Amino acid sequence: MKGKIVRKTLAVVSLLMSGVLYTATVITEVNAKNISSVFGAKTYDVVNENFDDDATYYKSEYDSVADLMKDGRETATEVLQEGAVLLKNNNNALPLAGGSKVSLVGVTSYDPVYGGTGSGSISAEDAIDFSKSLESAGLEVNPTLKKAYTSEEWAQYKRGSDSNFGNTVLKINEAPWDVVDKAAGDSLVQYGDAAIFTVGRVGGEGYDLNNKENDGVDNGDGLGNDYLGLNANELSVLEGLKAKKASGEIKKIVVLINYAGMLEGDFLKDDAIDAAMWVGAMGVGGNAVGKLLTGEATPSGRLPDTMWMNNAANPVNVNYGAFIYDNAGDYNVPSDMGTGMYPEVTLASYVVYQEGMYLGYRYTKTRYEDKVLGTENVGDFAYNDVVAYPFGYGLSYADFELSNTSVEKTGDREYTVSVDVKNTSDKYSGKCSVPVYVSKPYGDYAKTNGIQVPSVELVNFEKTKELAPGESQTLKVVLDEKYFASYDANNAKGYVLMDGDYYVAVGGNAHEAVNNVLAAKQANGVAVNVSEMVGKGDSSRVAKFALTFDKDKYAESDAVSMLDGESHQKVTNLFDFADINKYEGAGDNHVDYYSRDNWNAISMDMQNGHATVEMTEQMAKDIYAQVPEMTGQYNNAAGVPKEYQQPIPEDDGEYPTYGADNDLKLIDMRYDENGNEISFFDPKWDEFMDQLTWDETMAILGNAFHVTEPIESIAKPGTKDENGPNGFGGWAFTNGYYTGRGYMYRTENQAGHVNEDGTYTAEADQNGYKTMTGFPANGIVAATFNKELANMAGQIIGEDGLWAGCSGLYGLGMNIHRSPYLGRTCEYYSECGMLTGIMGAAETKGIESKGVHVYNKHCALNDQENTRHGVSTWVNEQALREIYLRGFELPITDGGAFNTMASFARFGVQAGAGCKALAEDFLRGECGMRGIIVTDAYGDMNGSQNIDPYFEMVYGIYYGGSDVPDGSQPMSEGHYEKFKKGYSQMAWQMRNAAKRVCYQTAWSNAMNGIDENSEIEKIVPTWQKILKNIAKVVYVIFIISTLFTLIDVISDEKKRAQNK
Amino acid sequence: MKTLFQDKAKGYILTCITILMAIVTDIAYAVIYSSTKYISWEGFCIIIAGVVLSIILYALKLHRFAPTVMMISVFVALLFHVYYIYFFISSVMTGIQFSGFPISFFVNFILFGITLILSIICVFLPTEK
Repeated sequence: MKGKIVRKTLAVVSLLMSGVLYTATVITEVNAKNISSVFGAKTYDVVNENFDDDATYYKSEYDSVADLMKDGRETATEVLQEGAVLLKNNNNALPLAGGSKVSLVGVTSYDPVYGGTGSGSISAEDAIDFSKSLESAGLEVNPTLKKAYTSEEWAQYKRGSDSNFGNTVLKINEAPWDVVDKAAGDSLVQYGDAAIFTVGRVGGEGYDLNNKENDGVDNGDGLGNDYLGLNANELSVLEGLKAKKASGEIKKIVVLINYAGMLEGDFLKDDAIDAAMWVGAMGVGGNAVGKLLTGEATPSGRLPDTMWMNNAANPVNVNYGAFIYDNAGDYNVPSDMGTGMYPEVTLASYVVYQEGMYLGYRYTKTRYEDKVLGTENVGDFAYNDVVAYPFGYGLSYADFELSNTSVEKTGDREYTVSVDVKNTSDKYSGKCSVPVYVSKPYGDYAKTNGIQVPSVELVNFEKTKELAPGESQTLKVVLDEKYFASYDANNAKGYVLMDGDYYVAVGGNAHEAVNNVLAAKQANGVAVNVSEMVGKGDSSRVAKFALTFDKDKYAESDAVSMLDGESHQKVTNLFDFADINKYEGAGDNHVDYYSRDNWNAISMDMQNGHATVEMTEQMAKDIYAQVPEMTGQYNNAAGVPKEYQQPIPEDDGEYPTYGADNDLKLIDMRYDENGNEISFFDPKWDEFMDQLTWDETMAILGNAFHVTEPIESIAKPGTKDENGPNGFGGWAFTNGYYTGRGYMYRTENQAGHVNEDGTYTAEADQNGYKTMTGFPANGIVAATFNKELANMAGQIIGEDGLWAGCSGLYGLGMNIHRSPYLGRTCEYYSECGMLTGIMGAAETKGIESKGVHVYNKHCALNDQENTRHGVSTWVNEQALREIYLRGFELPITDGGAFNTMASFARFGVQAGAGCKALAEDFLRGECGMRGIIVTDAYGDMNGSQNIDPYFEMVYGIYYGGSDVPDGSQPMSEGHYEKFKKGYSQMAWQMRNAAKRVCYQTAWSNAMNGIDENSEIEKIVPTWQKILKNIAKVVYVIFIISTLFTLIDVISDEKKRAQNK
Repeated sequence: MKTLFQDKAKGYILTCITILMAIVTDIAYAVIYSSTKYISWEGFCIIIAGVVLSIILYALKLHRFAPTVMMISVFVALLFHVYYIYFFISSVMTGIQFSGFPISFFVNFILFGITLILSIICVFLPTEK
């Protein structure tokens, strides 16, 4: 009996284990590349790796990872120090005196926001919280409140979310005042030098902050429960603190805003609040907060976005979110939400950027100027009720005086601004940034041709060094006249300089700039209704130039085209299909974009005021043009309707050569025998590419899930490409700096600390397991208005990649803060395309200098998370070029950005990853981008998720819209196989994409250690070997126990038969 | 009902309960996932097949084999379920989106778990007195 139970147990256990292991083997086999990528498992080896200096093509400036980490933390601190924005400081409430006893109030005070969620998350393991920061700056922090806020009993009071399936519910969960007051007791009086109330919010990938159920306050403005306003409990805390202040129990109220973007700013206008500072999402730079509050550092940040009094005054929000074509069903376009991870409408959703050019400060300042100028149809616009703090706003402890302002034309298209900046403070040192704005003429040409001209637009800026009291510095800011030009999509179809007066306004925030321009206009005889002005202007800080009409000067791109390596592309309309008023399949649709001629036409109805578009048959056809052929396999059971099927055409052209023996390795493709860089267009590249087999080509193009594939025959190493926008971070770095074949690996290898299987000995530097520097949100980087500092941050990110063996960064985030409700605000820089582009270029340059290629994302129009998957974005070309694409353009032209990540969104009807006009004509043609375009998460697009698939990689390759998927098997399995014969055009497109992958690898730090003797050898990762071996043993046990069971059963049955 | 199970061995009764639980689990599974791509119709059918075969075995008085049939069918169905839903699980666990598992996800796995455990227990219990 006992033996029978043992036999049964063995049979059952081995059956269960066999089943589990078989399933695990099947699943892991098809996802091996993904899994290896996620765990950083080695999938290839470099044979004959060269550890000498001469094979280290991208060198680090650090001797140890400890030094790099230290510099990383210090740079992050410096970024926050210069990027935090002092919003108010009544009666010099700040800085606080050393030794002040302060009370930290609010749940976020003890649970700071360091970054965003999703792919924008950072590692916060070394982050400094508010308490530590303040204490290290010499302040004494109320221990009673700290104990209460961090106690188990107060666990309910913690910012968070209810993680419902695809429908995140954001929770502020502030502790109400009566609870705080009771817990604080007398301690508030004892620590009453200041009450510091921290208000925190978090955002991230996959959700926006509007239209969400949460515990925000519904103030009846049509925006529902508003996550970006103070909720009832927060208001109760504020009221409680005010009462304490009124009774003399506390001396000051200081508000810290710990969110990557802008809250509604109306509450800050309360005089009882003495000081307020926006600290963004802090990254690991939290030490800066204490320094800023105590005056050890002087704030010098400027807001990268407009802070609205109330977001209902921001007309963009009317057209922000998810809208569905009502009549999509008429054309067999499904509008089901899907039920998977991302329940979204992917084929029938749209959004109209109806505001056109008038986004953020471009709207508020222009309408304000028009009001002051008495323009007709300006409508009701009370500036003080709309804007709490304008773009570019920021106070300092020091006082700065700008004088001797001059603007001279110093070249054919160059203007140089010179201004003396003097620190007139007698106490505080500090830096001062000087933004320069241009005010273009809104004359007859603009009006006739539908060109919109915002009153002021940022064109460049510089920042002083740290100026001691009384110290001066002359700043030179160089302006490119190109940015005085406006894009004329209707007549010239290119950039035009318009006839008229151009005003260059030097220094200050956008509101000061427009006031200064108004003062200058008045001085030039323009009628200005001064009584309508909010604040005064200073014409001495404005220079005026008269330019004549010119449509030819900027008709060609500055960059050399990467389509042929020698020409400059004609800049002309590329995106008519994204403008509903120009798209040939628009039918009767028409949208009135915002115009200076008629502000009254703007709807502020948050519920029903959005622009409406109907689907047409042509739209349906164009949308289906990039949908997977196998659509019917997924949620959209009907598949692509027959009338809309547009398979890639067959042809009988000649195929590229495959598998040639030309004896070229990737290392040979960097320099020729004379030491000159080998151009992408050099015929040697053709010889090199001829060596690739068809299967190798498919392998390169089939798997790019945070990697590029290693190829043995050409000694191409694999690359490791990882998130994210605020520095390398997230789940991919469980091994920290030991992730790849970087400096960390090379250093330890040389020290003999690497085992044969690639693991590290106990003697290896334990710092290597630490995670990389998490920088403050990019809005804070932008707010520094300091290009050198952005470049330094970029260099640290580059060094992090160099040490960790990462040669690609899925970042930076170059989309636009179109609305404050954007979920991924932390990843992007600003509402201003120019500020985004300039700072992004500086940071990109730093990253690229270390052989780390950026994949700036998400190009473009991923300015919302709601229905980001496949949303048709209707936008006019002027806004597209001057705002939304500028953030991608400047990092390529000025920062050397190699790569780009495509957007989930559509340009009109064309998928971002399948848009030839964007990829070929704009990025490679006009901007001269040298590298590759990766899709965004491919599994979200091709139907792997339970939503209607809306894009397939083969179309990206065929149209030249993208080169590789951010995905791998099985998502791209078999997608290319059918093109092996009879599709030469497709084959050549595949060849070109694979070539670009090889080219960008050749010029990355993945080549460190590889010389002419090195070989690449693919290996089965250790985890896969272990799994297979365990499975084999269990299968044997199962077979043996099954045999015994059968024998047992047969024997039992025999006995049973005999007993009968 | 009382007379039906009178003088029956514990394994006999528990196997009947397991069959009922398997039917409930299968129905719940179909309700939760039938409208999604995460449904495994193979798994769904295997449970039905196991239930039908077990009932036939009962009818033929070969019920001593029913626990094994139920265990294998439920287990294999569970493996199919895992195979079809792993991508979703990995998506949630890698946390790219700020969300988690729905209650129905847990309900389904709990039902599968209970049924499988019951079927395993049945294998070790005598079905005849």
